[in-house]
Formats: sequence, structure tokens, C-alpha cells
Amino acid sequence: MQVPETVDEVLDASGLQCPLPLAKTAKALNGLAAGNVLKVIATDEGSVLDFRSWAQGSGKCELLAQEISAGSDGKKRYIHYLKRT
Amino acid sequence: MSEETTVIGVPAFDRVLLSEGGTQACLLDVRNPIEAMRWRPEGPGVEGYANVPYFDFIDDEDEAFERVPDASQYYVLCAKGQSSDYVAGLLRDRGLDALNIENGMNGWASYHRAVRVSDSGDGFAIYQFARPAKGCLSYLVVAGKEALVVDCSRYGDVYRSFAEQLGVRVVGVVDTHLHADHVSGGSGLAKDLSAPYHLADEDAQDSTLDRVAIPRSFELEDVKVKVLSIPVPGHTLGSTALSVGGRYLISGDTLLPDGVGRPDLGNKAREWTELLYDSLHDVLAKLDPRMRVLPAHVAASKQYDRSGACVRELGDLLTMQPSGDRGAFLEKVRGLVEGSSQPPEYAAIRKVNLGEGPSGNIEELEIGVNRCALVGAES
Repeated sequence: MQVPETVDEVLDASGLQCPLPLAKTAKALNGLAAGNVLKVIATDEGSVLDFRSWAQGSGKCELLAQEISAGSDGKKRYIHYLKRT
Repeated sequence: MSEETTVIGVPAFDRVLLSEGGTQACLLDVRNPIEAMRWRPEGPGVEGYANVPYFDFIDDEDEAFERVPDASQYYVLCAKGQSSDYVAGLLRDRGLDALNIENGMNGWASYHRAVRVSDSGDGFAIYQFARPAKGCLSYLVVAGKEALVVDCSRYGDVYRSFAEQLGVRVVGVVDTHLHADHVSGGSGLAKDLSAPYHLADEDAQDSTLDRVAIPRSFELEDVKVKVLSIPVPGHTLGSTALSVGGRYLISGDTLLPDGVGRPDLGNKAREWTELLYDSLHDVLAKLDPRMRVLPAHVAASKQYDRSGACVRELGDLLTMQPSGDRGAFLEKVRGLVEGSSQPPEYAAIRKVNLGEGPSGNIEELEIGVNRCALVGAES
């Protein structure tokens, strides 16, 4: 799995606790055309497994990649790349 | 009109779990299936169970509700208590009785249940602290105004505040052995309370901990109660059982409700199995079989009685062990060891318990399963 070179939309869900990062992601995906890529930035560690499970069962999107990076505030960022199907 | 109750705290939920006749109650687990499969609270008070992730309610509420089994009372669980709050609200909107379990699995992971397990006429008191999320048992032995803490979890404050409420002073903190399954709070608690931390020399090799050996006996309140230490090597070389007042045996991992502590964690399985045989047959079998055994673990929630305690008779536990001569015992234990996997992360946990500092996230070590590597992540 590769981090895609281009993304069509970015959703910053930093600071939000579940269920909000995923709920906002679901809403944002609804507004995207098939094939478009959404990048979601979250601070909630639980989002890693939640996004993975959700993408497998949902049928609305494909999880292209996930990565962790350090934010400017020193907190970890959990980044998810989702393609609208 | 009073406001509708929408949440239940973890201690109250624990009492529900321990009660009987939970056929009409359902634990609705809204975590992702990977986490849900790893571990969850269990007990006879809540027999129903379903895992319907919260994101399925977000995707298609009606479809998700089709997978919610019928029940008269729902307890809704997630990792931290927020997604479950959302789903419990959806259930109530549909006229169902649903309570959100406060703080979810985070709250459950750190919860300790305290039950007095000694008789009132003993002249001392033993409190058993069960940490049901880990199946770990620990103890506070109280005589007069003095107390010993045994096998304390990494939540040392639980014991400290309990002792404060009783108005007793902790005069020692003991680990019956170097734990491999959970992070010990023993040395930290001892430091906080300016009490000695005891761990057997044999288990503390290479340790940088501020520690003293386990004495032959502890004398609480001027010998009103004698706590005798009994070396029982096998699970570890330094494993020590504590006899309290001659009637209770705090057994560490040497005797457990369903067996013995595995002797294969020191890479000397054969030698340690022989030691275990000697400890069982030459030491424990010579004690009064009516002694009440207070182990360091339970393996399943059904091993708690209705009060939430786990106490066994020594004679009963010894008859459950592989019988016969030394050769037969070695053979049997070897079969058991080969047929079961070693506790996950045990090497890392032992390092932490030897004072080498946490490497990584202690919560994750204790859950016992590593979170999967991130897909597509550069490490």
C-alpha cells in the first residue's frame, strides 16, 4: 500500500474524539466523486483500527494507506488516505 | 421529574456482571471487531453480547439495528466511552433501555474490585483486589494499624487510598515473584510510601531496583499476625508464597485456580519444572490442606464467586495437579507447556518490572497484544 501522490480533499480532524473523526469522514466522502482521494488527519489513536475495519466493511471507500507523523505541537498525527469507490 | 439515567460507572457495571440471571441483558460492543475480539468484560449478569461497530450505525443505522439482539437492558461499550455514548443515545431514541459504560475499556482496564476474603474472627483482615480486565489478583493484609501490600498492580494509588481509608500504614510492599504478565506497581508504591519493596534475590538478578530480599517472616503490629514466607521455586526461581496467620496462603503464580504457573519462562523449563514438583510435593503438600489459597490470577470470570472473590482450598488445588511420580509430572507439565503459548510481551514486561524503564506504551504491553503495524507507514 502506497501513500497516494495526489489528494483531492483534506479533512483535519485533529483534536476530535471518536466517533467524530469517522463521522465527519463519512460525510466528506459522500460529497466526493468516485475515484477521488480524501486525506484525513486525526489525533485519536483509535482511528487507526477503526478506519481500517470501517473501510473493509463499508463498501463506500478503499483505504489506500495510513501513516503516523509528528505534528508541530509534538503530538502524533494519524493520517488516513481513502479513495471514494 | 428527574433526569433519565444514561450512564453506568465501571464499578456499578462490575456488580451487574457478577449478579446472576442476566439473560435479558446485552453487552453491545461498538468497538471495531479487531479490538472487540481481543478482550471484553464478562460475567453471568450480562449474558447477551453483540459486536456492532459504531461506524456501522453511522453508515446505515437501520441495517446496524438489525444486528442488535433483543434485550430488556443494553450496556453499550467502546474504547473510551464516547462512541458508546452516541450509540446508547440512538438506542434510547428507539425506546430501548440503554446505558453507556463510562470511560469504556479504558475505565475497565484500570478498575480494581476490593473484597474482604478473611473471616471476621481472624484478628486480621485480608482484602483481595481483583483487576478483572487482566485477571490479576493482589492483596492488602491488615493487622491493627499496619498493612502489607502483595503483588500490587501498576495502579499503586488504588492500594494507597484504600489503606488511607482504613487508617492503616503500609509497612511493606511484596511481589511474590518477578511478574511476566503485568507491570508491577510494587517498587513505585513502596517509594511513595517510604516502605521497603521486597522481591526475592533469585528473581531480582540484574535489577537496578531499590529493593530488599523477602524476609523469613513479616511481623505486623508486634507479632499479632505472622506472615511467613515460603520459598516455592518453579514458576520463577524466587517465587515465594506467604502464609498469613497459618490459615491463608497467598500463593503467587505457584498455585492457581486451574493449575500451576508455567515453568518455561526462564529458558530452563526442565530444571524449573523439577523445582516446581518439589515445591508442590515437598512444601505445599505438607501444609494444612484446609488453608485457603489466595492466588495471583484467575483465568476466567467464572472463577470469581458471587462476591467477586477467588479463594480456593489448598487440598482441592493440590489434588487437581498432575499426580504420580516425578517422571509423570515432568511429562505432563511438558505437554501442557508445549500445548500453550507463552504470554505475549512477557520478556518486555519482565524488563520493566526489573526497573529497566518502560519501553513503549505500558497500556499496550499490558493488553498483551501489539497493535498491528500501520499499513503503508514508513518506520
